[in-house]
Amino acid sequence: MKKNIWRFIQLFLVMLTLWQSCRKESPLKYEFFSNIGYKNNKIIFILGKVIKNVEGCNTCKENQNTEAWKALYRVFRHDSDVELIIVGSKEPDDRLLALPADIIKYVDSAAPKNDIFYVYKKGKLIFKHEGKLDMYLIRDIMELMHQ
Amino acid sequence: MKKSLILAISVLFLMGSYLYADSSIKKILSIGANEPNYLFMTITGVIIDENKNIYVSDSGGPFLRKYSSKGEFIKEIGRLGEGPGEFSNSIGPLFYDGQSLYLLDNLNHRIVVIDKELEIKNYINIKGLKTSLAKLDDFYYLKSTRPGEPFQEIGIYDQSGKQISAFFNERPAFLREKLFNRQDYPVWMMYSGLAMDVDSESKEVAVTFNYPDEKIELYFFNKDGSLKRKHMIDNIFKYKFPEFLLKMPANYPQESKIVYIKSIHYLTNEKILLQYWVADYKFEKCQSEKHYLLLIDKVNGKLIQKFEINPSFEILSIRNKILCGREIEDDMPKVALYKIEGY
Repeated sequence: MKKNIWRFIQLFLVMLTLWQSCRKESPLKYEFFSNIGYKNNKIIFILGKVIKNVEGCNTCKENQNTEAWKALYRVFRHDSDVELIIVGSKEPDDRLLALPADIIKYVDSAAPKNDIFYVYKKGKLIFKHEGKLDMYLIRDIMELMHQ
Repeated sequence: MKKSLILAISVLFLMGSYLYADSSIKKILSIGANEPNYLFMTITGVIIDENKNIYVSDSGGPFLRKYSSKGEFIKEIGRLGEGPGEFSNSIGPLFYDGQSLYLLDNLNHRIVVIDKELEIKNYINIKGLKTSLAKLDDFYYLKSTRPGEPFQEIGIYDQSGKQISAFFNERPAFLREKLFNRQDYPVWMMYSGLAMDVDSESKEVAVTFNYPDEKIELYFFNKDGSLKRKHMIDNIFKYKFPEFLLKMPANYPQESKIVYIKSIHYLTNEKILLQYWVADYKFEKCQSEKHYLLLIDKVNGKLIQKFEINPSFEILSIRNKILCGREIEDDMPKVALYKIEGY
């Protein structure tokens, strides 16, 4: 009987540890991002953990896609039917505030490893990219949105 | 009568100086728009050739683009990657020797040799990270940090990318006679940075420290790295390098000033142009900044004239007195060409 109780406690502890670790590293639930904002056409930038040094400053850090996002923002800022949304975790960080956006959404979950871009047109997901966004991909987004 | 004469002379003088200043530096072309072929992300090099075609390197891709003298798009090359025809996202600067274009691809550790039709002709593999590129005859000049020290040197490389020698073992005046602390290595590295340019006519290399002290130190080297001449020029206002910046993190006083030499260029083989930046800080926030071009006589080191310029404009190359660079206009990165007249 004692043995069974001991085993049960062990199993419980293992389960508790697993649950705790899963809770800490749980991925962001992306499905709900399509509902952020109120427009059907939107570009959503999920901020990941990858950061790089700012050119000419050894101690300054910025997101790897800062310039790409600024370029996207410049392209679409005058399109009244396109919403530009940034989603980032609440980790103590002011990187979010340095980026231009129509909506900035803070989430409690841990940031994903890499940046993720979602492009929705008329409510449908038409483009998804994970990692570094270059000018070719920005052109693809321009083409898809203006088609 | 006397009063009105003085007034008239003053008005004429003011008008004359205004017209003179206005005609000295003039924007002649700007490229950049929200259209695929004219949209830039991070411009790292702008070159103009003898037919006034414009070449632009951009680390956000496409990596190299060609435009006509009127700014019309002609062609582009480059995808992100490590293979043939591919570039890393750390490229630049772009250099032109009158025949070919040379683009430094930092993370792929190579110099890409490209013809004016944007065909890649050759790759020159180089070891380590380099931050600047110039070429004189058969030699390449690349900046890098000296092994074990936070100071920069200029390496001379042959056509195969093999380092032949290195020169420049100076450190800025405010760092001389001081022992550097390992902990502050990155800060020292930053504040002992160099700017350099080459002149194909006089076959020389001009070097200056990015962060000057009370004097701006200008060095001129022969193409083999032997020192030709050195000048010490007074800063355009009274200034001493703020020592608190050498500690990491820097403990900013209530008020401070920072002077930065962004780049050095040969305007002609007798005149040097320095892009000079002055910023006023309140604690660690920049309150105001001014950008100047200092025109300097190469032979005697005297300041000929200073121009105040658009703070967002940054010179990347000069050819036939045309300043080729990048600027932010309407919150958009653009290629900008200015012409200096009268010199």
